[in-house]
Amino acid sequence: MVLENVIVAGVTVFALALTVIAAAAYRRTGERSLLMLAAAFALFLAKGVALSLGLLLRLLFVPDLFVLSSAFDVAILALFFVYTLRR
Amino acid sequence: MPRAMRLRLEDASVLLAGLLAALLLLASFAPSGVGKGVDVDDDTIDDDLEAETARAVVAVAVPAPFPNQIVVTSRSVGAEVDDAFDLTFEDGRFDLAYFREAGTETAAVGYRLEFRDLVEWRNGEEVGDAVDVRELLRRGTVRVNATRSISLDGENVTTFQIREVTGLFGVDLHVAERFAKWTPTLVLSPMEVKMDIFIEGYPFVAADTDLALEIRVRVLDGYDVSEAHPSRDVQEGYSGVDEREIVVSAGELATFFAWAETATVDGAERPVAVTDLRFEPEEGEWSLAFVYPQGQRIVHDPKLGVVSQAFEEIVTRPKEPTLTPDPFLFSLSLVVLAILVLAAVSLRRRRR
Repeated sequence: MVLENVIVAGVTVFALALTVIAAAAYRRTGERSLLMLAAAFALFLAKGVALSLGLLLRLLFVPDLFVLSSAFDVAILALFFVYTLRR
Repeated sequence: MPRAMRLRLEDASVLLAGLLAALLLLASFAPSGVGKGVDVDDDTIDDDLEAETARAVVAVAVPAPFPNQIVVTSRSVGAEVDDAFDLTFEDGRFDLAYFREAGTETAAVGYRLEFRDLVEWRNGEEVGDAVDVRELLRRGTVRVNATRSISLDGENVTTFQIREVTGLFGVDLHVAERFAKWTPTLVLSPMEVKMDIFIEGYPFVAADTDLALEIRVRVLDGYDVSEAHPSRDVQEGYSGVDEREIVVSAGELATFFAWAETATVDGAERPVAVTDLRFEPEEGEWSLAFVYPQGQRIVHDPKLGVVSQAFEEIVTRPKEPTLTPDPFLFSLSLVVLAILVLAAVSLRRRRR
């Protein structure tokens, strides 16, 4: 079973879609909160791309995967945290 | 359709997303391929295990240019404490020694194996004159030929052919650095030396007799000798044929001499009888005999090996799970999900 391939593809696709939607919404409304949301989704996209490359090019071992994935999660959560505090 | 019964697009999207997430979550709890190896070379051995348990082997026939002796040294690689075993053939004797720690000079356990006589038997009684195999395999009359070949799964195998001048009795030894698919039904283990015994053209004097190959095993004081049926390899699933073995052990450390319970006699597989293992106090040796049905060409396959503690340590240590890239599945997932996302966004826009 190679479930990790489906999951990583899913992360990448949904993150790309959400980044585009959030960026388009910011462009339409100019609301700064949407900019932060787009940035967070862009980080998800970067995570998806990094995990995809790491998986397909066999650059990642499970411990590295944990560190990389968690690092992105921390950055994303930090953005949400800042966004929440500013509201 | 009544309005209450219509499913809104948003509800459908939420339901679909929820269903997808639930499926992925459930699938992640299923036994997965993550952490489990593959067997690309189709030798029934996990490829990761095969790589981790490969041994460094030096196998040579000496002295040049007319070798009549064999020296094999096999050392584990990558264990916390690497072990080693030596197998030598000289003057008609096979000596197997296991060293718990590679590099030490004193073997932890081992034995000496000799083929003694070939003799016709009828109901356990000798018929005619015996052929002294030990004498045939002694230095002056034996030649050793070493060849290197590639197994069915691409592994390096060294084969030694021990032949004596009459052509009556011969032995092949096969040594591998890794698990190697030698035949469609036989995988060589790096912890063993596979032996093929050939008996051709024995001059039988009677038609109703069997042929006994008398064997001697000598061990140092303090080692334990026992029989096992079936062999450890059979019990642990490393052998696909019925086997018995003699185990020479010192505590938890062990070496063995194992043999298949059948032999090929004139092209047909026939059962091999084995006499009881006995200690001969006058000679200080253990004795047994393989008893083959009468035939002009007899091929039997025993093996000499060690229970490698390094192998056990490598096999039982916790495995780090691995990731399995599948470019096709990844690409397919990308495309399918992208279509779903675009379709959802498009439908959403049209509804607006």
